[in-house]
Amino acid sequence: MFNLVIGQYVPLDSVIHRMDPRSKLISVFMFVVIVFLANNWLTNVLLILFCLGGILTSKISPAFLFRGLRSILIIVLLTFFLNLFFTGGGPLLLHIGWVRIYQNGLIQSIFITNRILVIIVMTTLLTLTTSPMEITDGMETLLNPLKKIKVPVHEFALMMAISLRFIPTLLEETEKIIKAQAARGSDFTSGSLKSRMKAIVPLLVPLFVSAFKRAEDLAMAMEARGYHGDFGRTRLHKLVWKRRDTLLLLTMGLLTVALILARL
Amino acid sequence: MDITFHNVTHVYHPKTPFERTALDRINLRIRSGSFTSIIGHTGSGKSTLVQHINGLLRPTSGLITAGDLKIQAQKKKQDLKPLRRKIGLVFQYPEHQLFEETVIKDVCFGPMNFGVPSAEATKRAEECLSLVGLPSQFWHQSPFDLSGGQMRRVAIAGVLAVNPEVVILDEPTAGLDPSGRKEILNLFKKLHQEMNLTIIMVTHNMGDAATLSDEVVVMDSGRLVMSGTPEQIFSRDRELRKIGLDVPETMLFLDSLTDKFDQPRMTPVFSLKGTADRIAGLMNGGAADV
Amino acid sequence: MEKIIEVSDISYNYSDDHPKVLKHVSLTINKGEWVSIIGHNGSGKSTLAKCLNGLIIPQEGSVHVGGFDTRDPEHIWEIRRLVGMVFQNPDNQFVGSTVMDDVAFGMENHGIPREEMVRRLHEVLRLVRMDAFADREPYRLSGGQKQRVAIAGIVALQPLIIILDEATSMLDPEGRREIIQTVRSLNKKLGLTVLSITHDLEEAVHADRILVMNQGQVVKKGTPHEIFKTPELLEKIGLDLPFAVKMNGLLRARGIAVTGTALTEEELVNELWTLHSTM
Repeated sequence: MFNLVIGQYVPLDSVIHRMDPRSKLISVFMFVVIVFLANNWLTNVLLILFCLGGILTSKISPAFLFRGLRSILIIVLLTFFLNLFFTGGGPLLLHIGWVRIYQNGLIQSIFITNRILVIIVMTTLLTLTTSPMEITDGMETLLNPLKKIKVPVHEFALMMAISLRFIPTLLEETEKIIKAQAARGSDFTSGSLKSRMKAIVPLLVPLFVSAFKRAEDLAMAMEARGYHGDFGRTRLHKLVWKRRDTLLLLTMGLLTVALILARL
Repeated sequence: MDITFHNVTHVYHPKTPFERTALDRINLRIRSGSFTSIIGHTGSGKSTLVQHINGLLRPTSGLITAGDLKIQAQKKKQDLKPLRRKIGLVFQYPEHQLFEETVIKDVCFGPMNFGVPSAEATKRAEECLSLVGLPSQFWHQSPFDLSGGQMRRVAIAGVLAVNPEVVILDEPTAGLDPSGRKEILNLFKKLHQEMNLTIIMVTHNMGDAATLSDEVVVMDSGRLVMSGTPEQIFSRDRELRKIGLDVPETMLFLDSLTDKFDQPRMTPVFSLKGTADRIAGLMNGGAADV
Repeated sequence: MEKIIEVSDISYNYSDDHPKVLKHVSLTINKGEWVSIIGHNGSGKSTLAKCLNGLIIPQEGSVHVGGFDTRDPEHIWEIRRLVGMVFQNPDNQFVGSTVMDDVAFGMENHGIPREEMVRRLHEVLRLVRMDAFADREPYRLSGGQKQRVAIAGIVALQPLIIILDEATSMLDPEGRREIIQTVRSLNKKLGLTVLSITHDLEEAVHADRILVMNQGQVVKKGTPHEIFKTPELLEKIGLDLPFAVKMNGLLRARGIAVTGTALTEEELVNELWTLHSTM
């Protein structure tokens, strides 16, 4: 029912899987920034090639990845058409009714859509190749300096880890409640907007009740297991920075330089 | 109404790395007015099977009929309300579906979804709440203030208030204490006998399956491996053990007793009194079967 | 016998306008024994369990664990390490995103050094037979497996006692068997003390001692034989009886002179055999 690929970890054995989460996080962050350097065909093709390279090294089946991306297709298409219809400049290519499509508009929308797509593919690749625990560990370590200015980095990281841990549980729960109410004749998929909004209540109330119950239980279990904040806590996971991580950052640097040169 | 499965297969997450066949070519007939238990260990496909009966899940291939209604694999939308009005499903931990401000409103939710007018729905709700044995002082309270056992009874009343002809129960006693278990099981026994309701119960408890039902269906890894009367099923104890299931404790006891006495195994018996009679026969005469 | 838990005359209510859920409860638990608490829902069993690791501090009376008073905030974390607790819902106590992370969670909290943590991790996962699943995420585990992970996380902290708070009530029969076998072997091999709150009487008959709770009080305590010698009391407060005990009554009604001491099916079979041979 919930065919979500985004945010799902696929445990495989590849170079990307074995990399330190910190290098992957920094790289994805860098990637999101340098994507905006792409302003012509060459730079956009470079980005696509880089993405494909990433997918191939990760051993994740491209078909699986792209099927999962279907759920966000609507956002991508929306961006494409908005830019297509509302960006002017260059020769007029098409004129039907109020719709005017200009050459610059078409090129712009292809570039922008491409940027969005590569960003989504790269971030998805991060979560597909890095377990949620590694991501939070990496984040916590990267943000560690902020503890000095009293930012509760550890608490945020723990909150994130627990949320990620409970996503499958809550999805399963949602599915169960939808089914239970559907069996009692509730209809979530047809009728007016108002009646659909009303149909959400029998879903949301039980979901909240159960989420609160789970939170209460979990808090008690954590307390019973001796959780009392960051103080005096040791760590099972030790992040190890290897040569491949340095290499990844160098590659990112190279890509940045290549993009800047190709812009000219 | 009779329910039939013709070659029903269900595959979860098809064409992904998580693909799993949950039901494999199931053929089954559930007679109108029967009490059928479905046994099998966790992950054998029991819950998947029953969710096909009221169209919560659609088969990947094959056909299910319930009376003159049909469920099959198709993309086109089908109005499932007529089906769900006749076939109620009580999920595992059904109290997790409660949401209304008061008990009575929650029980009315089902009937009103099926177009029963408010006054009639309230009347039915009151009847069903009495039937499940919830005292009227609780009817106008919030369901969330009740104990676990009471909440479960409210949830069951909510399914019964739709006046279904068939009720499916997915482990109806999970998590209850022994006295709560007994009450719930007696309730369904009564509904089956007095109101001629067709009941389909998914259970892990072999004793319940043996004493309550007239038909037992055994599932293993998505396949239907046996079906028949409790006596037929539980005399095939070797095959049951092979798929990780047991026989009721009355039989376990008699088996170890006859082994000790070096007597042939007895035919299945499920009630405590019947077991005691058999033991008395064995002690007095030595003949195992009386 | 070494006392590890001593509860003296505790009473507790959740708030002033609620009735007391525990009324003058006293008990002791000795090292290495297996104690079962039975009683129906709402009899105060779980509240009592939460008093033992300081999750609840009773308004009256005191609880001592391994010599520490639970009212003393200075030792509360040590007490929680000494008293491990497995809760009812397998999902709601699984904190880590994999088996390994979850077992480590408790050790991380108690500041166990990393090398020691890794050593214990492998050891306890082997003990509960989950070593092949170290990298599994919780949603790909069965209820019984999740509870075994919870047990591993507790054993890794080298506690004095493990409390099972209806830890098997949400599991299927297979999961239930797994848990009881696992804990039984820990009890025998490591001498781990066990306090099990349960509705499963077939489990309780194997305990060293049973406490029966009703309406916030311990109404009876003793060995399983002492408890089931007078089944009338248990029936009166709405509790079920083990199969063999029910059979004892039915057999006597049929003129078979069983003594009524058999609690397990095996004992009853043996008794009937002896009776038959002497007839």
